[in-house]
Amino acid sequence: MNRREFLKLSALSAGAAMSGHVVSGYLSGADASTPHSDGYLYDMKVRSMDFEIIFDTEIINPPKHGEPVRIWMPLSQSGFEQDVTHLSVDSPVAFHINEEHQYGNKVVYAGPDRLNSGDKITVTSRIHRKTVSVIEDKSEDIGRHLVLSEKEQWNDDIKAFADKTVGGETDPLKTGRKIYYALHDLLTYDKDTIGCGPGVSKWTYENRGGRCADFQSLFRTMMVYKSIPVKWEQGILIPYPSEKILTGELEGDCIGTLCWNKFYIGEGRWIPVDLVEGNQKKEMRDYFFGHLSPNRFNISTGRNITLAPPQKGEVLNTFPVTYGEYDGIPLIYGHHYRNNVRYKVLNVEI
Amino acid sequence: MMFLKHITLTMIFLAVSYLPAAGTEVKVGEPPPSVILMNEEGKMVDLISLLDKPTIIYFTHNACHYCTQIIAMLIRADKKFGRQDLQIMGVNVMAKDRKLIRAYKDELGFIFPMFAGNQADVLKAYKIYYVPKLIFIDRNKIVKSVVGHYIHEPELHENIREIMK
Repeated sequence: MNRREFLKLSALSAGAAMSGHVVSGYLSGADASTPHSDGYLYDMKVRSMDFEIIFDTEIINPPKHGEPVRIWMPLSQSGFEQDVTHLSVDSPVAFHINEEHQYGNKVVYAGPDRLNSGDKITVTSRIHRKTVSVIEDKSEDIGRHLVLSEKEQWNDDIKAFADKTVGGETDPLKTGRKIYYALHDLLTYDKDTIGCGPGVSKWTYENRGGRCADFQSLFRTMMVYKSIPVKWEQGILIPYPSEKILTGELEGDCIGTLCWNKFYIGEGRWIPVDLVEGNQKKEMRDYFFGHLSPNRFNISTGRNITLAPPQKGEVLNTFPVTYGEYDGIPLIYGHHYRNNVRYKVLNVEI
Repeated sequence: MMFLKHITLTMIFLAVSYLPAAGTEVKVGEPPPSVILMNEEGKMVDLISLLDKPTIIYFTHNACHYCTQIIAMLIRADKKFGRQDLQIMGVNVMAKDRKLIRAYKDELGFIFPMFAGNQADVLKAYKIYYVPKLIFIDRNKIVKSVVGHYIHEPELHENIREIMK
């Protein structure tokens, strides 16, 4: 295949990747031009959303000496909570869709190949995302969700806080609830600083706050310390339905991503928890213990990711956005490449 | 003889007392922690031994978008304030050896010395839980300020003026 030829794959289903969007059921009976004043009440009623996602990875500057580049792009998958359809991948170079072994994350892998400024790999898909509450998944290997990454390790202070919070409680659901509310009281979301939280539990505890990954890491650390498996998931958050923003763009770096957790309560049942959204939307604090709003989609699971094929650099802390290398050296985000996520809301179901 | 020995020991004690001792964790108002890092020639160097003038230590890594913007500010600051009284050095906390730091410097035009900082002791001592992070050290080898996540140019210049006093 000619390397400059644009390749296209319809991986999951045939059909046009895009068509005119229909917002059937969107705010039915209401004025569709203004946001809801009691938006959170509306948002908690929404049962599902459909959106189209276009995820681009664009080469800004290829490596100075023309070295071949390898690109790994995470690929959303269908599961209990979301159906991914109309998937297409456009790439100026040959690519494969691989599966990472530890968590089963899907990866679009391209290269090693020379890429030029302006070259783009684009993944387009439609996602039907449901509101998530308790999930039954008996096929999941719970053991792997008891393993913490290096950044999630506990110290004596974290242990003492968890012990004091949980007391003698041994029921996983009640334990999760106690830790969830205790962390709401303990942590402050840092809205003012630009940048990303790397999800280091000790620092989050010491700092009494942080950003998305920091919050979720500390929750996971405390729960695993109490021997409760916690699944780390990561994806993208689009505006809440009540905001009535139907299209938009996000920077596809760590700032544009969101993570959340699901903890195991036995008999194949997992409870979703979003400590960050619960912290930022105070009226929805109770909702986010046991629910995930549907204005999001999952991209990857787990931390300490070794890609497929394996990267030469270190294991990835998380994998919600594209990673690249040349000559075994990680590409520099914002210099060599950039990611862009465009979304278009197609439907909101109440 | 004993008296002279006593005097000598006292002088050594006073000299050592006068020199600020390296801290174990970075703290404003204290000397920066001593850490041994690989430089771009592959030699191991104690960062503290290089502090012969007001210094900015800039922590970065390859996945950091904002870091690339700070590099341009550092280069402008280098031109504005000169090298007589200011030095800038980088620590790439993704790098374990000189290959990555050489590539980083080459790709981004980072003109300052850079060290491979992917070591647990460095991350702990300088509390690198995120990047970018800038440590401002004055001419007395005391940490004057620590700025994390991002910095705007006026704030960068203000911090430089403080360490150059």
